[in-house]
Amino acid sequence: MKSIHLILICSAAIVLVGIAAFADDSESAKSPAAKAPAKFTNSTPTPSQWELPSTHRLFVSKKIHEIVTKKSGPESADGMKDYEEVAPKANQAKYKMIALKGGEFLMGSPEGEHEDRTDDEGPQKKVQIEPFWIGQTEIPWALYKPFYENGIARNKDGSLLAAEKDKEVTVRGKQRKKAVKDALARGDSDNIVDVVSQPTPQYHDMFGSGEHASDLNYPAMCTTHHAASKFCQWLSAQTGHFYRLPTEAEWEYACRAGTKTAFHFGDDMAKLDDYAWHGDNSEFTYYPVAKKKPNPWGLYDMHGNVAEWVLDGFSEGYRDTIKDGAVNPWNISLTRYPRIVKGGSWDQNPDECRSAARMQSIKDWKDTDPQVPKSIWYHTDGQFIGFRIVRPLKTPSAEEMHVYWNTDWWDPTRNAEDL
Amino acid sequence: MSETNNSNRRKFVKTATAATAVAGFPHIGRAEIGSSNTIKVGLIGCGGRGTGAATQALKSDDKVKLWAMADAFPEKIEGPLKTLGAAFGKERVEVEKSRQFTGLDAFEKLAASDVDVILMATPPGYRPSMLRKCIEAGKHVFAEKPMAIDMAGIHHLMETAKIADEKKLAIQHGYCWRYSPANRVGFDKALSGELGRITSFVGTYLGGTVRALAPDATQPEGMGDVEWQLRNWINFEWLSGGPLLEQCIHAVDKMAWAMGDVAPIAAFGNGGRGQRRDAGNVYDNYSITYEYPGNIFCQIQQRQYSNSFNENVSRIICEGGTVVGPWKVSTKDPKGKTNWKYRAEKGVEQNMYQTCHNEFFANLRAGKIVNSCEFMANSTAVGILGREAAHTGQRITWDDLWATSEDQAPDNPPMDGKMPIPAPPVPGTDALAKA
Repeated sequence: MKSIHLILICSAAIVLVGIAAFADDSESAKSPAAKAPAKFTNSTPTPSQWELPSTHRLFVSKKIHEIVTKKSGPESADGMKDYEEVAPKANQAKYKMIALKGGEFLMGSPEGEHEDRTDDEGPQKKVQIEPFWIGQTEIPWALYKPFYENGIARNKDGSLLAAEKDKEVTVRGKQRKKAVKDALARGDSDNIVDVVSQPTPQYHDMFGSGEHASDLNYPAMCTTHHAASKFCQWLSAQTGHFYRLPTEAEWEYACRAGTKTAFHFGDDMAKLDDYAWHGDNSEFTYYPVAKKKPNPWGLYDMHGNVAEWVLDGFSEGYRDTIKDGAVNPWNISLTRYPRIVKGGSWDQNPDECRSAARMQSIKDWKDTDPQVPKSIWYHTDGQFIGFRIVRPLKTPSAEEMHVYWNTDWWDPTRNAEDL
Repeated sequence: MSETNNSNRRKFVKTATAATAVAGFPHIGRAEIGSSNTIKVGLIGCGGRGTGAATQALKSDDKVKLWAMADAFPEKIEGPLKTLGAAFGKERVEVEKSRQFTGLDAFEKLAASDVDVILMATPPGYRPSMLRKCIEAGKHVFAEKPMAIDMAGIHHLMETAKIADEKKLAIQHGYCWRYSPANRVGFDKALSGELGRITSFVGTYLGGTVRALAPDATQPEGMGDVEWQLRNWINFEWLSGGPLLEQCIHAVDKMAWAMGDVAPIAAFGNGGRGQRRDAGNVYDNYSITYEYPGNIFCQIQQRQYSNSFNENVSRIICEGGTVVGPWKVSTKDPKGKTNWKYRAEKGVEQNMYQTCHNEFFANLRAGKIVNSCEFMANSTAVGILGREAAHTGQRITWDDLWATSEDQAPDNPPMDGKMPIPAPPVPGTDALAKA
């Protein structure tokens, strides 16, 4: 697998190299991938400085952007309030968003915080965070099940297979191509929620043991970074609020809730049982969300239960490149692996649930997926991976939204990373 | 076909790995694989699983080359070829046009080509006849599960097993969980006696629908019966054997494993079409009780429903605790408290599909010929036993089953051939087919 493209992060510059375009049998893969090389000159490029990924799907993001901008929200952080919202396409399931007004915080952990601390948790940096809302809990099955059990025939990349909803399509060849084209052309707001790429039906039990996958209050697990991103897009399309995954900086800011200690409740690991499901108290499984005490800002399960995806990729030395005072740094990744999950899980040691702790994603999390290409939607062996969502106060451009939702799209080169 | 030697099957694993060459039989050409030669691999069945198997073969040994590909449908070859080429490069994936075979006789052409090893991931209805052809051509074979969909196929396999022994050819099985490092450790905790006597096995495979035809899907005009059914093979008994065999055979095989691979006494149970309303004829749910020697009763539950409870768990219940798998392999004490968890050793391969191929190719390199054909056929027959019990509504014994040789379809009907779809079996009406 020499063809994986790399992101090299040099001091204050991100250089994309080695993006190779491979043709593929799927319709979507014929779209231009990111056109390399793109160079950025500051350490925190905004999505608008990106080459747009997956441009043939940009119309979906544009449509959603229209819907979002039509809906009014507070002008400034002063007007932000916690709110509860229902997801119409998820059987009216409710979720609560907590308003965080932003500010400066110290990201990372000091050397010696724990004997198993790894160097990539530092050096600590003063980072600015802009106002945003964050999910009070990890996304539960109540919201996620209707997303993956969408009952619509789709291509492997999750785009609609045909114009006709709920109809199994048996067309082949030219007919199939036409059907796909028709479906893509139907970017009207009536069905834009369905047009968002969503998981294809499972050909195999993709949740491992499937444990509690039918229990609506349990957090969704086994989600890929891509699936979590597409969930955000799907939820945005139906609610008119822009949702995405948090950056690692946003996540850690929210987790710490003003604290500088190893955990948001202090340094005493003995208290962790009050706040978290972790390897020593979990009985080898996960639990319904919000059964333990919240952090000072009212967020549940920031430590433990399922680990949570953030937008960032992992690269050696990235922390060194963040300047003090940087605004919401984001280590953008164009590779599928490794990316960062935060918070630790029911399957990890207590120290791995610390606020600054981070874990890198690996392809082994798809070990029991029997097929190739492997599913881009499920980590068959990631029973400890979930996510929560954020909504920034400032609504980004359609192109920026598109980037946030498509940092890991269906692409033969990336799919080869799974092998 | 032989119906004798049932007593040997009482411990069917005993004959599974014994590779005894019969003196005087000529060994055909490519059986011998040296320690450093390039191994040319051919893939029959280029779907997702076949491409997966090819991936694992290529990763198992630097000198494995994908050399030939075969599929019934021409459009199935290009995608996997590109996927594999992108991942492994042209020097490892060297499938010239002349070695891309398509059509229903593609497997015969591939078997006759100069490959050393064949990976077989075609619909299981074809497995017995395809495997025979590959063995007759002197190739080592990796064959996906299940091995057959009816007893005629099983009897055929028993003969193939002997031919493979005579020719010193390896047949590696695709019951993947047997290669899972985690489950090997977990099952050993039960089989070693560490947890006391094994008293039962409960296996579930409750999942969503798998490539089910839509209720209103019909055969496109101008397309032959065989082609349409083959393109939707999971929906038809003669091709997939139904979901107890096609998918839940993993749970059945884990039960066989937990039972020490002794033959069951009998099975009874239920099944039907709870959600399916399509033109196919497979059931979508089974619930089977297997009787084993020593007053042991095991339960297998299979289901492919949407919007329902899902679970895929094996539980080996022992006097001193329960071994849980196949994911999150662990043990519980008799009160249900988790008291051991499998932890992977760093740097040790944990991917069972990879382990399967690593062992297959390492054995071939070492000249160790492992022929698991008879073992696979037996384990598949355990699945057929449960399925027939549900289809007939009767308690069926292992010996009764082996006295039958039902053959659900001709070996290789033409693409445009007629293939009427029999109605799904009706318990209490349909009897165990004798032939």
